[in-house]
This record gives sequence, structure tokens and C-alpha cells, in this order.
Amino acid sequence: MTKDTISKAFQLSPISAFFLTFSLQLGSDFLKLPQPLIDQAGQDAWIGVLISGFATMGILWFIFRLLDHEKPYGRTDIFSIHRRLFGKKAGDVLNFILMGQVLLFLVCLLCTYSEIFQVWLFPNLSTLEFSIIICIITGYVVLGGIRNIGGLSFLYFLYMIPIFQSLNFTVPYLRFSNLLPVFDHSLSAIMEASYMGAKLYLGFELVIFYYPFFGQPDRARKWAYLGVLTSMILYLNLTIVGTAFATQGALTRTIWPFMALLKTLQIPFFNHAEKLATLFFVWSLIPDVCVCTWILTRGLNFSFPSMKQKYFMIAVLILSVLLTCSLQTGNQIRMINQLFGLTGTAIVYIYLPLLFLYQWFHKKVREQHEN
Amino acid sequence: MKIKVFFLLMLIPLLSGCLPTSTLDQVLMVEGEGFDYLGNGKIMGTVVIPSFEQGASQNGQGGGMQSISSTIRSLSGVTYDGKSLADKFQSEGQEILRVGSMKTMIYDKKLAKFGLKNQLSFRNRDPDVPSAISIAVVDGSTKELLTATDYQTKVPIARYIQHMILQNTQQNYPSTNLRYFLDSYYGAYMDPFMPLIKKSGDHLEMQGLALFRNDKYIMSIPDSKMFVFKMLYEPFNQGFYDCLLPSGKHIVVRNVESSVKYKVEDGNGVSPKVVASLQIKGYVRQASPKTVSTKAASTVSKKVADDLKHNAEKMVRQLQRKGVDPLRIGDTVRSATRHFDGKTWNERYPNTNFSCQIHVEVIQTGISS
Repeated sequence: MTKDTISKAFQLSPISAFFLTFSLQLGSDFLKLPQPLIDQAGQDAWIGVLISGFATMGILWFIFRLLDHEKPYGRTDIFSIHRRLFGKKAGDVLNFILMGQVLLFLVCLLCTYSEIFQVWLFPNLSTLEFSIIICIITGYVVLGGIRNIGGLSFLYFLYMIPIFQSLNFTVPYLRFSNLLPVFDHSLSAIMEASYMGAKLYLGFELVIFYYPFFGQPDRARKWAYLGVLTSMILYLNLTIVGTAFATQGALTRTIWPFMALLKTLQIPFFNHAEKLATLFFVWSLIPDVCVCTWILTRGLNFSFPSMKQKYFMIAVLILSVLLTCSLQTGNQIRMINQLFGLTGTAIVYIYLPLLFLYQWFHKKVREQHEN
Repeated sequence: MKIKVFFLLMLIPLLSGCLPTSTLDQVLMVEGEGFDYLGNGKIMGTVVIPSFEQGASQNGQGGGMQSISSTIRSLSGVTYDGKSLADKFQSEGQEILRVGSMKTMIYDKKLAKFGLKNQLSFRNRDPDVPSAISIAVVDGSTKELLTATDYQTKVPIARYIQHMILQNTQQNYPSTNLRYFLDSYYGAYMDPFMPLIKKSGDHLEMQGLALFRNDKYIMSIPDSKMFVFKMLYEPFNQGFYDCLLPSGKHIVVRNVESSVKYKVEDGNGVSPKVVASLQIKGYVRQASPKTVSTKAASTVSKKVADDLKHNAEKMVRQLQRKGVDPLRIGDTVRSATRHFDGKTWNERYPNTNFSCQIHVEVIQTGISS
């Protein structure tokens, strides 16, 4: 096993960057659109989504620069960067902090979806059963490697097409006067909404863990931008439809506006579109959980290379099942989601740009020494 | 490898799960609920279940068998306001009662006057009942309407009500269902409404629209004014308007197109000015002799437009006096005003200066002149 390059058999095709970015971003928050932004910006929520989408693309550019600058020194993932810049011990500590964030993402997803399943489909489904089933599937996929996960997120993209086509059925209900007057909120309110919007896009930053697996990083980068753009258009669509579909008073009382919207639609043959959609949403859960598990497994293996990856994976899955089951009530799930949003935005918008600066500084100092 | 395959096969029973199942012929699907207010927070609730007859064929040649209904038809009993009727009647059910294919919910006038707050909050929370069910206020007792057996049709009563309301919303009645109602109930600067129905003899009839302020029934609009209401509420087609000329003669116009645009001036002032401009295209369906001729089509459209304008302004003035806003005029003003002053809107609504400009175009007058 060579340290620096990854054998062709494990490499991802560039287009996987699109599907992975897309499926990671569409974790669970899109079901709540436009509700998280309504409190701050009311009918101007879509502006917040737009701003945070462009901010995400800007940050993605920074992340790619950070990773590409690492190329001359070794493997282009965050584990190697941390170890090179901060030494073995401090680097490993930072790695573990980032892995904690990934674990938080994993637990958030499992909790949120088990809650959705319990509320909408199977009231007596226990969280334990649900998370064990999902984790067995995840383990099976992760054993196959990152290429399997890429394929799964491609399937997710395909399966979501009919779900989002259901928005067409909302047309008779839309009242676009709900979106007027445009720009009626102050700039600070819109910026607050964009902060809430930035949480929706979280997940794209996980590229820092699997970037070296792209065979042709130049082309993969373009696909990743396209992935962010696609989810931005989708979020924009959901926000505008969601705002035009219901009055603000009704929106603030709805927990999952997208599900409530599906509940209203009368699609021929499917009187309960929302129940069918709930089953479809497992597809949004599995690729994300797989990516997270894969990252955690890899991270542990990076710090303790002597042990087999398989055992790490089983440990990670058992840990996530335990953590998921320890969170029971809707309030706890909401709190952990908030915590994830806060730490995620802090890492993406503060830590990674700082790391980029530090890397640049490190390079300059070293060049001066050499001269 | 063999062990792996065995392990995977072992998972199959796990995936099938042990969750409760609902087999179609082992549940009672509640299709309609009716609520009559008894006073003191007590209601008489009624649920109806479709009951299909077996045995006898349509021509009465049932092979000598008597026709039998395999399930019960309806249940009713006294409970408190806001209680789930399916839960309440579970103990009286022949099979499990399920509400997933609910079609209609009706309330009597007394409950509507008392307020539907508890009912709505319960329905908004319920994940099982579809949001697009038909709702209506009944003039009379809902129990009597739901359980009567003297209807001409044998269609289950909940579907009868739903079909009647739906076919009317394609014509003169504005779109109504539970979702629209909840939407305007929770929304600011607007009030909800639902149709008013009545059992008259051996059939049902639409009586107009029941208007609410928040969750309480305030007034009703008669069936004859529905066209005027709907043209101000939303764009539509296939409605018909019976115009009574001063000479006592009638002209009936059926519209193929109707669109409405609102203009708002001085939205934050003491008396905002709202102008509705309407474009109506239609054809003359029925006319008293000597009222319509192909040459004088423009004079006819002028007469119809004047009549519509008069009635529309009268209706809005009446709504303003009662303080109900089913036409969402408040929301229209909000959407056209920057930094809308919502707190004082309730005081300003009665002073709002409403006027309409109606342009009627008669595109044809029938096949004989």
C-alpha cells in the first residue's frame, strides 16, 4: 500500500463529486424549508437561501485551494494537512475534533429520520430497531468502499427526481402575493436568515476527507460546484413554493412544511403522497450515513494504522446506534440539530479559512528559511 | 462467502418487521365526521363508514339471497369538543377504525358559532387525515344529515357531500377544503370560510358560504351572490351569473375567463384605497326575450358590468361592517405596502375605501338571434 496515491481501483469518477455533494447537502433540513428562515426574513426567505448558496460556493473554492496547495507535500486530505502543519499529536487532536463533528452529523441524521418515520409512518417503530437496520445496510455498503457510496448517491439523485416533481402539483395552491413586498426586511434580518440558510448547505465540506479519491480532481471540482448549484436551485424552489403555498402564520406552526405540502396534494393513485415520500427519504439518509461512517473509519485508521478498518467500522456503527438511542424526545433532536448547525458553520466559515491562511503562512516562512 | 449469504438471508425476517398491519377488509375506513354542539363544551359526534351491500344485484336478481351490508354504517355519541372521534368510537367499532381516507368533515351552525378552535388545532396536528378534505357548515343537524337513509342516491354520504362541494368549486364556489381553511385561519389579515350545506328532503343542497372571524361563524353569503364573491377572490371560469335588469328581466352570463387585479394606494393611511379591476369574458347562456341582440352586445355587457359592480361593492361594504375579511383584502394591502402597519389594520379595515372597475366582454350570444 503506497502512502500518497490511491490505486485506480478505489478512485472515484469526477461526476461522483456532483452526486456526493448533492446528497450530503440534502441531509434532512430541506424538509423544513422555508420554516428556519421565516422567523427572520418572512417572505424574503428566498434571498437568504440565495446569499448563503453563493457563500457556500465561495467557501468551496477556498477548500479546494487549501487541498490543492497540499499536493506537493503528500495526500490531499484534511488528516494529512493537520498532521503536517501541527505535528502528530496536535494534528491528531484536531482530526478527532473534526471527526466528532462528522459523528454529530451522523447522529443528527439518524435521529431526525427516525423521528420523521415515527411521526409520519410507524408510530411504534423504535429508534433502536430503525437505527440498527440502517446501520446494517450502511456497514454492508461501507465494506464495499467509497465507490459503492458514490454509486448510492447517484441512485439517490435518480430517486429524488419524482419526489421533487411532485412540486408541480402545488400549482393550483400557490399565491405569489405571499412573496410580496420583496426586500421588506432590513439587511441585518436578511443576513440572519442567510446564517440559518448556511446550515442547510452543510455537508459539502466533507469533501476535505475524500478529495484524494478523485482520479481527476480538476474535473471533480467543477462537478462539485455544480452540485452546490443544483441544491441551491432546489432549495430556492422549495423556499419559493413553500412561501407561496402557505401563509406565514400557517408556516410558523408547521414543523415539516414540505411534508405538509405533500400531505395536501392529491396525486392520482397516491392519496397519501407523504407516506410514500417518507419511504423514499431513506435514500437521502443512507448515502449520507455511509459517507460519515466511511470518514470516521478512515480517520480512526489514520490515527491507529495497526488495526483493521473493519473493526473500526463496527465500533463506529455501534457508537452511533447508542448515541441515537440516547436521544429520544423531539426537543433533544432539535437541540442536537442546532448544535450541529452551529459547530458546522463555525468549522466551515471560520476554521477552514483560518487553516487556509495558516497553510499559506507556513509555506511563506518555509520559503524564507530556504532562501 | 456462504456464511455471508446466510447472514444476509437471516436479515430478511428483520426487514419484514413486526409493525401492525391494516388489511383493507379488516378495518373500518371512516369517511366522514359530523359534529353537533350540545353546549358546555360537549358535542354529539357522528362518524360514517361506507357500507357496501353484498348479495343482491342491481336488477334485484340476487339469486334469492337477501342483500346484506357487511359493515356498520355509522356511530354517534356524546364527547367533549376536540376529541378524536375515531378514538372515541374504537370501543364500538366492529373492526379497527382508521381515518386515513377521510373525505368530509361537517359542523353544525351552533358549533361554528361557538368556535372551531379545538377541532382545528386537533386536525392540524393529525398526520393521518389528508389536508385536502372537504369541510362544510350544516344548516341543521349533522347527525341527521349523515345518518338519514332517505337519500335518492346509495353513494356513501361522505362521498356525496365531497362530490357536491367539488363540482360546485369548479363553478361558482371558491376553492375550499381543510387546508385552505387552516391557511387563512392561521394567516394574518384574512379570515377563513367554508360552504354552507343543507339537507332538503331527499337530497343535499349548497346554500352559500359561511364566513368566519378567526374560528367563529359570523355571517353567510347566499348562493345567488357566489359569482360576485368568487370573481373577487380568485381567477376562474365556468361560473354563471344571473343578472336581474331593472326592467325585471334576466340575463344569464357564463364566464369563460375572469381575472382580478388589485391596486392599493395609501396602504398605511387611515383609509387605504383598494381598487379591484376585473376582466370578465363570457357568453350569454339565457336571456329574456328582447334583451339581447347581436348588434347590441356591448350595451348588454355594460348592463351586466354595472350590476356586478353594484353588487360587489355592496358585498364588500357588508363584509367591512361585520369586520370579516374572507376576500383577503388585508393581505392584499400588506403585499402591496412596504413596512405594512399590521397592528392597526383591524381598525382601518372598516374604513378601507373599496371600489371596482369591471370590464365585461360578451363573446357570443348563442345560436339564435
